[in-house]
Amino acid sequence: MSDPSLLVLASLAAADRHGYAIMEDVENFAGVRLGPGTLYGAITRLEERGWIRPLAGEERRRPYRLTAEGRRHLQEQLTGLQAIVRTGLRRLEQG
Amino acid sequence: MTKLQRLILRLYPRAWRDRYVLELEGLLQDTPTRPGDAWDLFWNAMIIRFSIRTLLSTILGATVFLSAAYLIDRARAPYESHAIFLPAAGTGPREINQRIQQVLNRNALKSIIETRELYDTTALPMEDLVERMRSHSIKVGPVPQSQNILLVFQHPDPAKTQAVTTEISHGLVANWNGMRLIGGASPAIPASVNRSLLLAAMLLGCITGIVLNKRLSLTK
Repeated sequence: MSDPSLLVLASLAAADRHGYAIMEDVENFAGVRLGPGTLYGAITRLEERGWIRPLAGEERRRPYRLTAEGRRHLQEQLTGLQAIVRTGLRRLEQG
Repeated sequence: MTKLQRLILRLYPRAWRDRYVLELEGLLQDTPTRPGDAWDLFWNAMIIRFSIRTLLSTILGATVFLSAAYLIDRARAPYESHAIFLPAAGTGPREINQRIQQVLNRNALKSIIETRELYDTTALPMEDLVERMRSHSIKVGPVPQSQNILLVFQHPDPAKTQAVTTEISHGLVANWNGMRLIGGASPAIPASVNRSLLLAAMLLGCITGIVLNKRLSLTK
């Protein structure tokens, strides 16, 4: 899974984080290093869709929080992925 | 943060920069620079700046203008006929140029225009017709990556096109051993596509697409 938006949402599901912290967290849990442009591209889209929102804080290290709508969207996406993963693994075992 | 990164950040739309640039600058200062970062920043700047709608309107504009230019070009395309010459050993470009000037002199062209009834002589003075024929309808020059010389003549009438090419090519080699005509004048075929016109139309189409998309966005 390397969809930057989903990775950012998954990172923010655990805690509020600023850009650098999101980048580090994603690298730790997914092994994916998001480029700075990719990260802020994803943040822009997620904020536009209302799935994350900026919190008050230092301008250069503004933290973001997952909204209820964002949490719901992440839940749906991960559930879908889970079904794919389960099916794929089962088929691999059968084959 | 490198100078290149700072430069690329300026490619992002102003509204986006007002909102995010301080954070992104902070991130770039906090993280060590990696080789792919500049490309990553550039690519995402393009994605943010040019939405799918802008891209589609640009492609649409370019396609419409390109198609129109192609149809106009084909509708107006004259016929052209070619003749190829092989210079004799020892004949240099200077001698060939002199020969071309000699054969394509004003009187010779005037005679061809009159006898072949090439153009409407009542529409323009003969001097202008000769000049137009010399500068637009006849092209003589070396074939790239070859010793050969190529003569091309263009005219709306295919029969006259081939006849004039034959006449000029015979004139170029008559009583002169400086070069030899290979074969004869080719049958007249529609002139090749005007690439400059198509390129200009495509660029104009792109610009129109972008402007129109912007205008529509503003009035929305």
